[in-house]
Formats: sequence, structure tokens, C-alpha cells
Amino acid sequence: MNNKQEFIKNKIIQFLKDNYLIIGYVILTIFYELLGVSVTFHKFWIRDPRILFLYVGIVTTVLFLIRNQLVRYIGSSIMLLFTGILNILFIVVYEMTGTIFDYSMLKLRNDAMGIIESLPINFIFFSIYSITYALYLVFGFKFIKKFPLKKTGNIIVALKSVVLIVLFLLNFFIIQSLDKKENDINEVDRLYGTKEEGYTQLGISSTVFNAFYKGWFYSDIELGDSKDVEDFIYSSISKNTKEANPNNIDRSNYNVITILAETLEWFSFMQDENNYPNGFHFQDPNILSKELYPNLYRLYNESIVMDNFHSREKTDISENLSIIGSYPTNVYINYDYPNNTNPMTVPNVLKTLDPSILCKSYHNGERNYYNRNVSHLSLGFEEFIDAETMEEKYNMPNWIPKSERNLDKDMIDKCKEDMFPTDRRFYTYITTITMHGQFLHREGLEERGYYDIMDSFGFKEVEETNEDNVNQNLFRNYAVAAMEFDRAIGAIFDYLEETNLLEKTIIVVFGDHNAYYQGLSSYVKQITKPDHENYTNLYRVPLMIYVPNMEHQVIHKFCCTADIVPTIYDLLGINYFDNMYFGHSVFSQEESVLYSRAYDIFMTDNAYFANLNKIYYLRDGYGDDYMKDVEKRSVELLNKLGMTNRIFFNDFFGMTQLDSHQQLIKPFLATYQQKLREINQTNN
Amino acid sequence: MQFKKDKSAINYFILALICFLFIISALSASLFTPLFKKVNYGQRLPLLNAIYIFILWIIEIVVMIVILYKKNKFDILNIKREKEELSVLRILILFGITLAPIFLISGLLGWKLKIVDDLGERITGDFLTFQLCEYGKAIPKLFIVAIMIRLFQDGMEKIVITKYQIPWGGIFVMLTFGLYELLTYDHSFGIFYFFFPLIYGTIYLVSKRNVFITFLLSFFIYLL
Repeated sequence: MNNKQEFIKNKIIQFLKDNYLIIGYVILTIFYELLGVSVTFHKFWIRDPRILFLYVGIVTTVLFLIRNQLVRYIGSSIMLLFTGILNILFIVVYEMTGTIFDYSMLKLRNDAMGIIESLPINFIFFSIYSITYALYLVFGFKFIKKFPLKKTGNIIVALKSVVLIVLFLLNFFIIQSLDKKENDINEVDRLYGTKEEGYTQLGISSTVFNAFYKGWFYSDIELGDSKDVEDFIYSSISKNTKEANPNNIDRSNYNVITILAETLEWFSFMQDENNYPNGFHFQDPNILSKELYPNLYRLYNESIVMDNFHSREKTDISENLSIIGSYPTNVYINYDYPNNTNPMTVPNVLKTLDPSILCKSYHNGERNYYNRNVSHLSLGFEEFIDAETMEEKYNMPNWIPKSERNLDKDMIDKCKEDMFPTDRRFYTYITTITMHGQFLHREGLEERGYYDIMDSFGFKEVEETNEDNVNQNLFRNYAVAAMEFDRAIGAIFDYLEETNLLEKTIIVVFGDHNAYYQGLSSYVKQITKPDHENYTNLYRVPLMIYVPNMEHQVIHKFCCTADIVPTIYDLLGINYFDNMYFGHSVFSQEESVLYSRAYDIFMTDNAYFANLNKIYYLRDGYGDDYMKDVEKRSVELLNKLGMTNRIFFNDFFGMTQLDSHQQLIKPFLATYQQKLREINQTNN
Repeated sequence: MQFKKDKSAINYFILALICFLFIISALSASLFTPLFKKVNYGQRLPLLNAIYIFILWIIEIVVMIVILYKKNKFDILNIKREKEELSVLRILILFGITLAPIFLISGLLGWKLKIVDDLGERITGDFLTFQLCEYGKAIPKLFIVAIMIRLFQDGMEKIVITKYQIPWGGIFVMLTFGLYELLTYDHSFGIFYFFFPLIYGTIYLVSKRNVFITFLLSFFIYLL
């Protein structure tokens, strides 16, 4: 080896000795990020690591500037701890909810405590992280004295400072340009993006940093010209379908009950071994309809059934979609816009056309959960009645203090007289809770004797010797909870019949999402990944609508939660400005596309995609022609979504148009209500 | 194995037994139970008990350390002892010794961390508080355990000479504290808690008699 080589070799060795802590920090940080992506999205790469590199770059430069190994050690250890905690935290959130972090999620933090029943810390990530981090701590410390830093001149420190400042600026501008790009886009661009799924795009820490940055600095949405907004809203008026009212009955005085059935799946009361291979297996399936779920079967047999209805949202968004008919992106209405003026919601539209109608919302869960006690009033309900009120006012047994879910039939039994008044027209929204995960053995259901009934039909709890047995018990617990929901439906039917209200009451029952808790839906349907031939079946849940004097029929058209509001209007013969609603009546020829706000995913019954460049699932036999049609429908939806964002962010209907002298000339709310009355008078 | 006479060993054994009595002294918390039974329907009892035990153990440890040092110049924590640097091999062995029980328990729990299993299902604020109290109590408890190991180990080595190092401290703690835990704690892995002191004793030896490392690693094993 000549002198030059020796010199270079020594230099390299010296560099490694001087900077072993920094090198360790960089390797471990990037490794933890990749590990985080790998345990959540099963990919060991990050598509756009720019933010990650800049973040690591900045920390690295700061560490370089520090000329003391002990301080470097402490600093890098703290940063690695921070990275680890951040990853563990958001892996837990992902494993519990299936969603990736966005800034608005912070508003759900109090609710999160209400639904946490267990803390699924990922074993693989945690163990690999702890071992490597402990190794770093121990060996990092061990070599501090062995490899002390050499003193460097002020010029070098100054140069490094300049590099640091440049990196900061570069970081700022790059993130800013990324964000600008994201915020300036037309919502339609979502369809043509190239984004990877979830954390694979940026990594976990970078997604969190980016979300915070966007949340703090780039969350404003311009309203633009209010005339454009009005033109968009009023440019299209719905047409009622003949199928919704074949006998042309006047339903203008009909009552409406919408029941958001928490986690209701078809397999909660039906046996279908093709679609639900791990569901019920009774030799005589009639047991289900006759003995276990007679009321759900009655509802099924007397209703219009949508057997191709899908939901891919969390409860709060499903709830809002079924009341408002639209939902903005990147926010949570209940927290971000709790006091907005919303004339397009079902209660407000009904009240605009019939001021005598009574609109109330009932939920046998906690009062401030999802901020419902505030937001439901702005949606047009006169009152929001929660579990605590039900306990105090109606003497309903409240199981919440015992860490149990309340019982749906208790709610109906105790509140039915106020829920379904006989002296005036009503719109009642009910959000149930008994079937909410986790699917544990519950004392309340035990008291009702449901477990004994299940046992008597041979569906007994099994010893949990393997995963399949554990899942069978989960399913059994879920099916038991569904019995309580069945009895609640029975109580509603009985009371409405008793009071002769059934003949003029429309009842809408829908599942807000699949049984995703503890992976039950995946287990029962045996569907886990989009490579399954019938992947979208994973999100197929019930929608049944009881309409007096309408025969039972099954509609096979694809439909989703956003279709509920237009369907209610269609059934009641109400004309509406359909650009304000994402969906279409289930009776119309038009088919919707589901856009999931929670998961940033598009979906039909035959396709599941992040954008047109990232199609995760396309059913066999469906190709380009089908996707072209889906693209057309998605563009229509996204145009509405863009306008919805503008309307909600600026509380458009709470605004008034001012003239040049700042004088009020036109309240937008009054205009909407006036035009709504007009289109309904004209057409009626 | 050879034996030698050293009367000072008896002092070590007595001190080790006193430490064990410290652990048992936690039972005195039950004297106060009736006082707090009716506070919040007894839901605050675990918290109050834990605070009492935590303070009691800290006081006992501090008093013992201070008295022994002031009266006898006895450095019970081996602080004054000249520190010997651990070799890479010893560090790796310590890693292995610590990780083995953690992985064993996690494996038995279906590859779930013990801390996750402890929290269980239906986490409520009260249950979380209770569990945090248990972890809080474990800090002084395992510190006392580490001291017991150090005392008995050093006491035995004053009277017994062996070719290979034997974790006397670990064996003593297993037969006292381990048995006590096995009999008083209702945990499905109680049998492991009985044997874990042997691991703590081995850690003490591998870490070149460092009480703090023994405490720290035994706490990790307990927690995870």
C-alpha cells in the first residue's frame, strides 16, 4: 500500500471513528422508517423519501456541529427515541383504525380514548426497535472515550453552519412546493395522481411532519367567486324517479327514521357460505330467521334491499354522509365545522319544506363523542339525546360506567314515545352502539340470555387453542350483539304498528362500516388483500329501506352511503340541487363512485383504487371500458368534492354577500331555502 | 467447592434477609385498606396502596443505605468500587440474557408483549392507573431485589470458593422473593417469576457486580 492509499485509509478510519454516532443515527433512523412502512404496508421502501432525507440531514448537520461526543450521544439518542415513539404510536393508530395520520385526526384524540379497548403494539417493530436502540445506547456510550473528537477550526464550524442553514431553507422550500402542489390542485387531480398507498409514499415520520406542516400553514381554502359557487349549486336539479314511487302516492307527510346500525354486516344475521365462509354454519339456516333474528328477517322481507351497498368509512363520516349527503376532505366536520350553516342536510331540507316536522337525533353512546352534542344541532336536529340523557330522563340502564356498550333495545324501549311522536311529523336519526367492536363477551348481553340461546343452537364458545377458535368466538360475540339489534328493530316495528305510524313511516337501516375491529370481517369473508377475486365484498354491508306500501325488492346496483340522502328525497318526492350531494338515488339509473375520505380511496363494486395509476383491484372481466366509465363518474364526484371543500371551509351558507359599501345584500342561506321551496312548489 | 471461615458473611446474609423483609413490609398496606375502601367505591385503592408502598420502600432503602454507610462505611450499592469496563462479549451476553425471557414470555403470549397483555382488553382510565401503579411499585421492588442479590452473592463468596461463579444471590432471591411472588401474585406466568431471579443473579455476575445494571435489566424483563 503506498502512502497515498495509506493516507486515504487513515482518513476514512478517522472519519468513521469521529462520526460513528452520527452514522449509527442515520442508518437506524432510515431503518426504523422502512421497518415502520414494512409492518404497516408490507413494503420495504419509501416512494418519496425527500422529507425523510431532509429531516435526517438537518439532525445530522446539527450533530456534526456539536464538537463533543457525549453531547452527540445524548442528542442522537433522544432523536432516535423520538423516531421510535413516533413510529410505534402511528403503527398502533394504523393497526387499530386502518388509517394513516392526517392533521385533523388530532381532533379525534379524546374520542380515541373512548374506543381504545386494547393497545396493539406491533411486536415485530417494537422488538427490533428496542434491541437495535439498546445496542446503540450501550455501544454508543462504550466508545465515547475511545473515539474522542478532534478540535476543528472556527472556519469549518462556520462552513457547517452555512450548510445547516441551506438545508433548513431547502427543506422549507421543498416541503412548501410539495404542499403548494397539493393544495393548489383541483380535486379532480386526485384521480390522476401517482401517490403510493399510505405510509409507503413518505414514511411514517415524514407523513406526520408533512401533515403538521400542512395543518399549520396550508389549510386555507379559497371560496373564490361566490357567483361561481351559486352557479354550481343551482345549475342542476334532481329528477324524481318513477321507481321510487310507482303508485304515485303523496308521501309529503311521511315520517322518516334513519338507523345507522353500528357495524351491521349481512353475515350478522344471514348464512351464506359462499360470501361468508367463516360465518354461520347451521344445518337448518331457518334457525336464523325464525329463532335468532326474526325482526331483521322481517325487515329484510318487507324492505327494498340494496345487496350491493358498500361503506368504507368510519362511523362519524358515514353518519354525516347519511345526513348531509356530502363530506369535505382533510377535515372532520364534527370538529372542524361544528357550527356551520348546513341547509342541505336532511333535517334542514325537511324543515325548509315543512316547518312543523320534528327532527331529533338519538345515540346511546357518550354525549360528546365525535362532538355530536354540538355538531348535530348545526345539522338541523332540534335535540341530540345521548346515553347520559337517556339514563337521566328516560331511566335507561347505562352500561358505559361498567366499560360495556349500551343495549339498543333499551334505548328504543325507553325513548320510543319521544322518538316516534304520534302528534306530529318526525324525522328521527338513531345511531346504535351495541354491535360496536371490540367483540368481547359482554355482561349486558349475558343478562339478556343471548349467549344461552346461541348455546342452545349449538353455537357454543370454544376453547381458544388456535387462531381460528379465537376468531370463531369473536364472531359468536358479534352475532350475539346482533341479536340485541334485532330486538331493537322488533321494538320499533311493534311500536309503530301499535300507534299506526308504520303505514306512513319510511325506515332506513344501514351498516356504517364493516366489522373491521379485530379483523372480524376479513376472517368471516376470508378476504384480506386486494388480490382476492371478490375484494370489494369486504366492504359490502346492508342497506334496507322499509317504505309503506312498497313491495319487497332487491336492487343489485352498486350504491354507497352517499346515496342514502338522495334516496330519501326521491322517496319523499323532494327535488333537490343534486350538485350538493355526492350520491344518487338507488332507484335512479345513475351509479355512484365511493370516495372514502378516511382512506383516500375510490371504490365501486368492481374496482378499488387510490387513483387511475394505482388500481389495487379490478374484477375479472372488467377492463379499460369499465374504468373509463368509472373515470367519468369519479370526475363528476370530484368536482362536487372540490366545491364542497370550498363551501364548508368558508361556511358559505353562514355568509352574506356584501356590496361595495359593506352592506348586506344577500344571505346565501335564505337564497338556498327560497330556491329549494321554489323547485318543490313548481314540480309539485 | 471449598469453604472458608469469614464471620462477616453473616452480616451480609442478615442484611439480605432484612431487604426481603422490606418487600414483605408492603403487606402493611392492607392495614389501611378499610380507610380507603369507600373512596370512589374502592376504585382509588390500588393507587393509594401503590403510593404508600412506593414511599415505604424508598424510605426503607434510603434509610438502610445511609445508616450502613454512615455507621459502618459499608457501600451497599458498590458505588465506590472501581468500575471495570464491560467487554463487548459481556455486553452481548447481557443482551442475550435479557432478551431470552422477554422473547419467551412474548412467544407464550402469542407474540404479544407482556406490557400489552398486562393492559389487556377494555382499557379504562382506572385500569390504566392501576397498571401504572404496578409498574411504579416495581421500580423500588426490583431495586431491593438487586441489593439482595449483591448482598447474598458477596456473603456467599466470603465463605465458599468455587471454580466457576455461581449466582448465589439469584438462588437466594429465587427461594425468598421468587417464592413470595409465586404464592402471592395471581399471574399465569407465576412460575417464570419464580425462576427470573436466577437470571437477575446471572446478570449481576456478568455485569461485573453492577447493582444498577442488574436493576435496570431486571426491570426491563419485568416490564416487557
